[in-house]
Parts: sequence; C-alpha cells; structure tokens
Amino acid sequence: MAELSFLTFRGNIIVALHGEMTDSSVRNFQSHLLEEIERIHARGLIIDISALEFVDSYMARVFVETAKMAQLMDTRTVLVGMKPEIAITLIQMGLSFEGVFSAVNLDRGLEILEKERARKRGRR
Amino acid sequence: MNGSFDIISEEDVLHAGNEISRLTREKGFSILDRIQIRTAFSELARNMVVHAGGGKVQYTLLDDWGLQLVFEDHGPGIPDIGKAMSTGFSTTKSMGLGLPGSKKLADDFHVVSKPGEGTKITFFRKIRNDQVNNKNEGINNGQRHDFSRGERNG
Ligand SMILES: Nc1ncnc2c1ncn2[C@@H]1O[C@H](COP(=O)(O)OP(=O)(O)O)[C@@H](O)[C@H]1O
Ligand SMILES: [Mg+2]
Repeated sequence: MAELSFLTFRGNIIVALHGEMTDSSVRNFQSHLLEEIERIHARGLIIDISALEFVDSYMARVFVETAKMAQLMDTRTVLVGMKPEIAITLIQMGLSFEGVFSAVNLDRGLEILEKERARKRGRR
Repeated sequence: MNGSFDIISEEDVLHAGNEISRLTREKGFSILDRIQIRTAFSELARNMVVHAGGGKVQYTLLDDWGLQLVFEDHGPGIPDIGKAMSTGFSTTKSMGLGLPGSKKLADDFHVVSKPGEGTKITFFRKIRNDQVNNKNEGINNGQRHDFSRGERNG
C-alpha cells in the first residue's frame, strides 16, 4: 500500500486502497484514518477496495477492526467495490464482515450512509 | 513449469504472491481460480512467516492439470493438526481461518507436521476443464500426481 489519500465528501471520508497490505502499512492506514475521522468529525467512512486483487483473512480482520474503531467515534463504515469473486472466496472460507456495511459502488455506499444518518436523526 | 520462493518476511509473501498471480493469469486460469489461489497462497505463506519464522514455497504448474503449491518450513510444527484445521482456532489471537479456509479453496490439501521439525502443507488446485487451452492435450498423461496420502477434501 504505497500512498494513502483521503477524500472528503459531505462529511464522509473516502479512502481507496491500492496494492497490498503488510502489518506496518495496516497500522499506518488505521492510525491515519482515525486521525482524519477525528479531525473532520467524519460522519461516515467509505473504504473503496475495488482495486484490490484479493482479500485474505488478515485483511478482512483489518476492515472489521477499522470499522469497529470508527464506530466508537460514531462513524459508520461502508466497504465498497468488492469484486464478486472475492466475495465468493470469503464466504467459501467462512469469513464474515460482521458489523460492516457493504455496497457495490461509491454511489450506493453514500446512499447507505445518508440513510443511516436519517435513521439516527429520526431516533432523536 | 516449476520453481520456488524463499519466504522470510511479509514483503516476500507479497512478492511471491504477485508472481503466482502472474503465472496463473498467463496460464489462463479463470478470475475466480486466480483469486482463490492467491488468497490461499497469502494465508499459507503468511502462516510460515508468523508461526514458523519463514520457509519455502515450491510451485508446479502443468497444463491440463493444475497448480500445486508446497509450503515447507522448519518451524515449531503443529502439535494438533485437527485442532489447527478447525475454524477459529489460533495460537496468535488472530482469525484462525487460514488453514481451514485454504483447505476449502483447494481440490486437494494435506498437512504433514512434526513438533520441533516443521510443517509441510500441500495445496492443489485443478485447472477447470472448460478453461484448459487445448493446445497441449495429452502431454501430461501418466503424470497425474498421487494424492492418496494425507487428507482429502470431501
Ligand atoms: N507453518 C506453521 N507452523 C507452525 N504452526 C502453524 C503453521 N501454520 C499454522 N500454524 C498453527 O495453526 C494455527 C491456525 O492457523 P490459521 O488457521 O492460519 O490461523 P491463524 O494464522 O489466524 O492463527 C495457528 O494459530 C498456528 O498455531
Ligand atoms: Mg493464518
């Protein structure tokens, strides 16, 4: 995972992952992300994984963990753009993304975040 | 076609994984096959780095047959293979899905391990019939490998 760039859109952070993740790049990714969430008081987080060639159990764990951390800061996470073959593989291996929303593309991901926000307002 | 990679670090896992992806792409494996092979590779090679201090992967790729990956290390070994193969079992508090998950992605899979000596894991994935390029038909007759030892996938 060479460079990380965060994009901000309507109070949401959008981050696209490219290439591979090693232990140190993952720690880097998580800490930068949390700083950014705090800095802009992000309401939602979108992790775009459409460029990833595969997702193993280690990477899956990172996504679930990151989503949990974001949740503690009141930020919902949506995983966007998982290739269907990757989804099939993860299911076959017995992996689940508990507590993480997922969407086919960015548009749908943003929709999910809007809905979540509306639901939260409704509860107040 | 065959070769091997020394795997000591996480970077080695990535580098060798990229090579495996390139080979399977060139050989015409489907996207699903390529992704599943790459995923299992990542799980088993990472296990060598995390649990055994590194090891070696040998690959054998034959037309009309498939891809065999042999992961061999001289780490601590696995005392209870049955336990290690069960979903969620981990001695490092991680997901415990690498071994059982990789087995589910294989056409043949077996583990040989001796405590104090090391671990050898054989992963085999067929080339699906509908995607074999017909050019080398028949060449590998008589070279089908024997997987009669070790565990088989149901
Ligand atoms: N190459 C290896 N050498 C020694 N022990 C291993 C090796 N591979 C796996 N193990 C053992 O098997 C367990 C399960 O492996 P795995 O399913 O990949 O889960 P995880 O890596 O998340 O712990 C590991 O926690 C470890 O104890
Ligand atoms: Mg593992």
